[in-house]
Amino acid sequence: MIEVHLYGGLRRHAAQAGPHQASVAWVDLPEGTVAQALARLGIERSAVSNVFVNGRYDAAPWERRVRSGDRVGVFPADMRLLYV
Amino acid sequence: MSRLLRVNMTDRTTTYEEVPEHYRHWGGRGLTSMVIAREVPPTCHPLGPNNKLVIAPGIVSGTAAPTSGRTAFGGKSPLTGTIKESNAGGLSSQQIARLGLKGLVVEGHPREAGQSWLLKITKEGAEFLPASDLAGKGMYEVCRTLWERHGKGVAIIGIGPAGEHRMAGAGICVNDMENTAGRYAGRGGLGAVMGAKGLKAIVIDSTGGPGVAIADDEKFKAAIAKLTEASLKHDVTKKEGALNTYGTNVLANIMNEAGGYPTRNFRSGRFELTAQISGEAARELIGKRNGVGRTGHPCHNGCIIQCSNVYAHPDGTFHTSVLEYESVWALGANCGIGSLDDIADLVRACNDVGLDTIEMGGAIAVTMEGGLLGFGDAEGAKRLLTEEVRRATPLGRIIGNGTEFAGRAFGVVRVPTVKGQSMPAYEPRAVKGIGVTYATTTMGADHTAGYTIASEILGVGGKADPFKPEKAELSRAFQASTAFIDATGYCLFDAFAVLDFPEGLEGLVESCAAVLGTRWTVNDVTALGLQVLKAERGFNEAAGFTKAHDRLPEFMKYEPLPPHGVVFDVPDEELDRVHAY
Repeated sequence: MIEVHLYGGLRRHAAQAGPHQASVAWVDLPEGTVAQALARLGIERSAVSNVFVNGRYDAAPWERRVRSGDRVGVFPADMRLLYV
Repeated sequence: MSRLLRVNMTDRTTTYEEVPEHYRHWGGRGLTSMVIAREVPPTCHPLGPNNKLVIAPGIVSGTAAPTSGRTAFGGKSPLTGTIKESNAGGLSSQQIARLGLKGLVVEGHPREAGQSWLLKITKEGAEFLPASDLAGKGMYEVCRTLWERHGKGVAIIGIGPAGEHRMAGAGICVNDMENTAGRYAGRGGLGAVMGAKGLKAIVIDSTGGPGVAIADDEKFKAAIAKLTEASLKHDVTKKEGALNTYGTNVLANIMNEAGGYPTRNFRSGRFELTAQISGEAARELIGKRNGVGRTGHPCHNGCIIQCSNVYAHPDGTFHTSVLEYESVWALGANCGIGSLDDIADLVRACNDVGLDTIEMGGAIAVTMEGGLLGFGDAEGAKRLLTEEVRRATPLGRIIGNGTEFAGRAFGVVRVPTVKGQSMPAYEPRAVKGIGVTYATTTMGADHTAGYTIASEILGVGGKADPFKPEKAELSRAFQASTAFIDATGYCLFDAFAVLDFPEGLEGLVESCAAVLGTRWTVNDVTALGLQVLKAERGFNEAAGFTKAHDRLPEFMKYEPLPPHGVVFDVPDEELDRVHAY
């Protein structure tokens, strides 16, 4: 399982969608890319600004390999603190 | 031609003087630091007669330049013993500038102890009024009383009881457009310098003032158009961008995800309750409570970013303004407190008593570490501020004198300070560049002095890996450009647009050049910033500071920080390279 922490408007893809607790979606994927994991949740690239993998910011995250046990943090476009 | 106002607290006289050539091109921190470096003996006692408190709007403050309402406060710091500049938003910057004043230099020392004076400045001149009836009063009441007496809309600069009791954690308050006591030049204990001079408050009424003279009006208009356009299109600073929507506390979830959000006195880089104290949670609560609360709130007229907020009680009535990233972290995660309502109480207490929220969060956290109260004890923390610090009890003085003082009092080793000043809300073990800034800035631990986070976490102005220790150049570049921006009166948040859009930086520099009639271009920014840094470093060296002081606390070198398990591994030689210019 990949642990995806969602923020802002992306929280709706988690079971617990309010901002007062962590909004975590579990993706049943033994291994794959960040793009694949987020696609499973129905999250489009255009809706995403910055991505952290295991607490490390990744500027080009989509083809990054992740496996079961990894934590992915995903921030929405309206929290874009990145200029890319 | 703007003038300097000298305020002598020994004989309570004021003198207007032409701005000497050597100060003419400076404003804000540039002016405060140049005056301190030139006029204050570096070895003087910060609370004694030879220190000065310099108050300066920026170069473009008071003009139509957007988001340019910062007032710089400078002096020798009673907290750090170094030169100090701390700046705030609010009403004072524009009104001082529109009276044709480049700045105020408060000097001397009252002949008798226990003096409390008010200085009122209008277009007619400056006068002293007795303020003994305001002595000991909190800043909320002071602001309210002074608008009643001197008119709605006047700018107020003042100190609470903490400053009057000369505590090193005391800040200087500036009122905002709603006359809330929420804008602070918090850092470095300059409130104690003002208190030592017997000055409770300053009222500035710019009605009928001459305004700011602009040497080249056409160039100025073109320049601010460029800066405005850059600011309004940048994702961080635009309308409904991250700062405008969520406030600075949008960063809480981001720094927590990055593992760089200091928790329980810097024991961890992640706080399990971050979600409920985040900017997202605050925005939702403010909306749900449906009262006076709001986000996207400006701290001064002419701000186009509007990152501030007004926080409301559950019944919708006013609670406090502003819940910003640093304050929420300091009095929240760093103390293990996970309720926004509790944090709002603590922020309001700091704002009323006249305290730096960062320093108080740090001091309470080391006191928790020392065992006087437990992490997460919000009621205990409130008692410390409202019953001990406010009343200046012996325990209150220990807390009110800041993190290092409290750490020593309670025998704590894990004391997150540099040069005596408490660290802000970025863990230097997880974000090395900000650690390099903390260690080497002239100010003591200060994130605003060289905000490498912009590159290390936010990817603004190029990208840098937060875990790599080679950060001397990055930190130096940020420290120099920041020293320049701090001189302009522009808010540091303008820097986001400036770092990423060339026309933004051009607009910022050219608008200053147009006001002053200089030929500055973007190529001059680093050199101008370095002039300020050199003056500040010179003062600190003469005050006894060496490279041995440009270091982080020892525990950060041997105590691995969860969740990344990292220590601060930037070599001393790398730290020493920052100022090798």
